[in-house]
Amino acid sequence: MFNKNSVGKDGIETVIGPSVKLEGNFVCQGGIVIEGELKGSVKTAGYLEVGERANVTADVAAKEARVGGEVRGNIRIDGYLEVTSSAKLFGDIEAAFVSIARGAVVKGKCSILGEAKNTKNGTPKIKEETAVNSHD
Amino acid sequence: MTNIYIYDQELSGRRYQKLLERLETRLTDLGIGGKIYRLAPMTRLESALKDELAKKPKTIVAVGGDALISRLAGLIAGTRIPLGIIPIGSSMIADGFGITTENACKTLAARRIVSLDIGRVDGQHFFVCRAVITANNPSLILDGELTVEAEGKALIEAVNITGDEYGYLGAQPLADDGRLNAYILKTEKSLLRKDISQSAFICKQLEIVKGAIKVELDGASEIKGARSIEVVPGLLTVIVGKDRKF
Repeated sequence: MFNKNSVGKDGIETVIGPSVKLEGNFVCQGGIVIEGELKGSVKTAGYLEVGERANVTADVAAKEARVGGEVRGNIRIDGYLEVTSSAKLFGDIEAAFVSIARGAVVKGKCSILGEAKNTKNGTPKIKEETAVNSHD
Repeated sequence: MTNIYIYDQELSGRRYQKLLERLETRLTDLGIGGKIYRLAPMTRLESALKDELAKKPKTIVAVGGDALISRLAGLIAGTRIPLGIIPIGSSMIADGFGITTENACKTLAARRIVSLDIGRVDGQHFFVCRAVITANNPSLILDGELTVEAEGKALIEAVNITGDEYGYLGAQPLADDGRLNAYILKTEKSLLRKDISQSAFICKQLEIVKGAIKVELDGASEIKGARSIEVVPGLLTVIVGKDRKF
């Protein structure tokens, strides 16, 4: 009866603006944009964007992500993770595909996930494991 | 069962006489005339309606602006009596429901009845569209789990339903999803300009821990010292227009 497309443009459902702090274990189905501060954990079945001025102290899980700010915690992305040149990541990364721009700071282990559906027990197969040091 | 029409007190002047006569004729032609209550400045809406609500009228119709519509919605919430609207002047609520002064009589006759969520403040004050909290260094708890803090002055809008012209980020508020959209609007000053930054969340309940100065409901009434804002799913029954915006 009503417009059931309740998710916003580009699937974004939640926005944490600059000078806003969120604390807790945040779980949602739609996309998330973080421009402010977040502490705790964040998990979404959708897209995650961490802006240049964002400060995240949390374990992060999302379907796809673009990170340009600071993240202190482990990151697990089912699909593509784009780390831009302004990003500072302190923690382990797991993703199916990763691109890291020149100038980004990445301190932690980076694992490339295999196709989970092709494994017998359903657990993701790790194709490659690489230690990535700071690029600066 | 009869239709009850509640006229806003502002409609008692000569300015609205011709318009009201025209509307009354149209309602009679459509066979949906009914009992009319004209609110006077000192009339208490609750006491005026108490006996009528007990008789379970077919429809309660607000004839006026958002203040009256919002108050009536709060009074009949949970009774399953449909709320009809004949907006006079600008009305955010009627606009969202796709009702104008011109199509209101036809909309009432068509009786497209839907159950919608309603917002509730501190368990007793209701709003149809949105509650706007003026706050300073606010701290909120969403759904009892997430703490949200903002620095400085901020407007916090808890939105149940609205049209899509308000420029909110994130998911569009829906009238029947059992959720509120909470927005934090802040003015960010830089050297050359001011920008409005926006945060958007979805929740069922938000608790105002600190910083609230006042809460405005549907742009019509104002309360102070509010602590809790929640959505109550499906509590309001409304006759809506076919051009509603949600």
